[in-house]
Amino acid sequence: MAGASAAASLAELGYNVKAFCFQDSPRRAHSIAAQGGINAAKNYQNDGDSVYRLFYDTIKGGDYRAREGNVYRLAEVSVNIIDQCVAQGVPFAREYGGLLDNRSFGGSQVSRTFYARGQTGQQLLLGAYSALNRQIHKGKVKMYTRTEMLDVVIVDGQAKGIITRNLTTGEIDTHTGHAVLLCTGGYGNVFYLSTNAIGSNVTAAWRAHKRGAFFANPCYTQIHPTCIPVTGDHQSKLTLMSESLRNDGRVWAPKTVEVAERLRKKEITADQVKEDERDYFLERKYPSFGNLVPRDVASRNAKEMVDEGRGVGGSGFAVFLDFADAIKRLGQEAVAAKYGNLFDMYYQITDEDPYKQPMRIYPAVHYTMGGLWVDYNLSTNMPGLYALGECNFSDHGANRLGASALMQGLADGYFVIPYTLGDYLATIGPKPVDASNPAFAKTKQEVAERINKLLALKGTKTVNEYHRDLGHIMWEYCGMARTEEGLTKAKGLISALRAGFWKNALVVGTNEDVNSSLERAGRVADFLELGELMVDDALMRRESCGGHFRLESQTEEGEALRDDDHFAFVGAWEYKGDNQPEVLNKEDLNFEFVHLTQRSYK
Amino acid sequence: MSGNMNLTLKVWRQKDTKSSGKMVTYKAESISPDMSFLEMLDVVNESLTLKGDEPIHFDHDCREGICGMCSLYINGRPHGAKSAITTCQLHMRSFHDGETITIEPWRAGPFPVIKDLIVDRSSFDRIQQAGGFVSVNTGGVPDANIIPIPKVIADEAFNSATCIGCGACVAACKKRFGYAVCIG
Repeated sequence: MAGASAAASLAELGYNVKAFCFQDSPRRAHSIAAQGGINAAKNYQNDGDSVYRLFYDTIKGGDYRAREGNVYRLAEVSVNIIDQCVAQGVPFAREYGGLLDNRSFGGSQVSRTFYARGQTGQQLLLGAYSALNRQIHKGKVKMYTRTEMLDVVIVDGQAKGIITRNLTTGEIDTHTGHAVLLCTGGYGNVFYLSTNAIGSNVTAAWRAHKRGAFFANPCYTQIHPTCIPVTGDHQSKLTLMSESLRNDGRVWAPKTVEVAERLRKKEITADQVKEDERDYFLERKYPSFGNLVPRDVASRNAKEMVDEGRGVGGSGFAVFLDFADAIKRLGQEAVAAKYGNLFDMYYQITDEDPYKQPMRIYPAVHYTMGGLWVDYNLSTNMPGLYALGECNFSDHGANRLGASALMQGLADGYFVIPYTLGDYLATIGPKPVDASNPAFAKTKQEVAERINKLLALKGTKTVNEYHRDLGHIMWEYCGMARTEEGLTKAKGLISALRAGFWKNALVVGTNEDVNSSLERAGRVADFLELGELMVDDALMRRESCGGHFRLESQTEEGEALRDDDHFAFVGAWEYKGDNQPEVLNKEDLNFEFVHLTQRSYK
Repeated sequence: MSGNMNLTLKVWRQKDTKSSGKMVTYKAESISPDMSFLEMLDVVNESLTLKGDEPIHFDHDCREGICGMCSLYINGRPHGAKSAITTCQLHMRSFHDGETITIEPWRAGPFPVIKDLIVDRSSFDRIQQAGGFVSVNTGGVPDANIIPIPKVIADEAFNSATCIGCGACVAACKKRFGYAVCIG
């Protein structure tokens, strides 16, 4: 979505744009799956919202690990995004009077989330897709679908083009440009199981990193509290149940292990558990925010319930999200109008009716706050190379608040890059990019060699198995709770797994037509490198902050305990060559407007 | 796990657009009813890969019913026999042990087969790029609440905007397809 909005807006300004996506249409980018909504400081509800308040909530929600300037700008342009989308015809939810409706999301006490039932992402993406189609029609954007970027071409330290592979024919192509924008999403699939689309990958960003772009805060991963629990090893992905459900759904676990056990054995059903046998643990611990605490807090608390033996469902890895009260208060019809498609989705997957029994939910990997390091202009440290949306690290600190990903993606694409790109282009002047520069042929050659190397892998273990093994390691040691000991162990395990991959992986097919085996292999190979950097980053950061929870660093109440004296910085990693340790660059975070405190949602 | 199923699959295999294709029979063994249809194909593909064979190629991405990437004609119906869900949301509990399942690509003139079960749906994009877009520049638009739109009209507009562009309508009705009629 960041890509479509950026391509369209830049084309409107007169630039000639080439846009690439690996799907068969730009409308299928994973932004489409965003359910709940998009934040904006419109204050339409007159409940005291403001640009400053959205800025403050975002900084606090990110546990004081984001850059103030970027976040303030994000809050400022949030209002323009809503205007823009409505002008495009995005069908946001409305009140009976015809004005736009809002709801609340985690980490805020105002209603500032605009939504389109449970498919806000699809509606916003279709708006951007429409703007993009208009520019394709005008000939200002040339769209390449089923095309994957496999490297960036650097000439004299500046990005001057990319190398792509046509996923239908296997052809390797060179594209020149005065600047390269990466809008390639996050890297949650390093965990194998996540709410990301199967194709979501880190390859473009990782290739850029290996050409010199810094990778910032890779260990900051968002584990979303309300996902449908895992059922078995066959599982290929996890499905999110929107945070918006926590407006009306109440999260609980049985008070005692005994009751939990009876539920697990299916001796009783959830509705038979008496009120005084239930622990609405978020409402109990966080009376001010209740069920709408930020995601990292809700996830850790759910894990705590499970660790105490109070988890439910067949595996015991779940807690309840209960709508019985809301249905009693509002009626089933009203609840269906708000969340109908989510309830249907839950039913399709679990074969259980959430109108009758509470949903079973458990945290799952959802979003990655880390990404390519960018400055205020969204430029990486490599001139001419930009990163937008989830692909960069800039706005969410150590934890992203709900309904802020769509906001950031569209802010970057519609309202930031059109202003900042021109500055760089002015410095390089209007001369054409010289495609005969040997850097192009050399990079293309390297890409082709890597593909041949992958195709030559004729071992005994499938790429999928390596990916699943990596996911297990990451989830176990670099997931919701991290320790020095576990991370150190993970580092060794990943390194050995990677070595095993390059010896014993099995890749079938050729490079002459569609080859899903080869596509997957290239992406998993990059995840196997990224995983180790995430572990390095998590080891380096000996504090807890937001989604990064080091067991060694917690408050007496079990909340994330930051160490601002030593870790109030962005950790930007610099690649130094294969099998060389990466070098840490620190960007100090200076807070001029927000006072750093222990984050509290009580 | 108890209740696992053994199935026979008849699958369309076609190397590329120019080659001719054929139905090939595979066994899908020990399939859990909790698997999605695509996860069942993943299992088959893992075993094909281990034998050094090329996996069955099919389009898929979000696996939660919204991206519109997955397709498949299953036993003569787009996205299978259940209504209003995509193939990725179809679960194996809808099938029974010993069943034979026929899996074909979307079959329609505007959707040529790229490989196996993958078809080219770029004609959908071309329709929109030919003029089916909203002409609004970025920036310079009025406040979002300046034109109230009655809730009933907004809801109706939303209903028309839920199409995920999967192409099931084209596959189901080769002559008179349209976004307005969702058969999948």
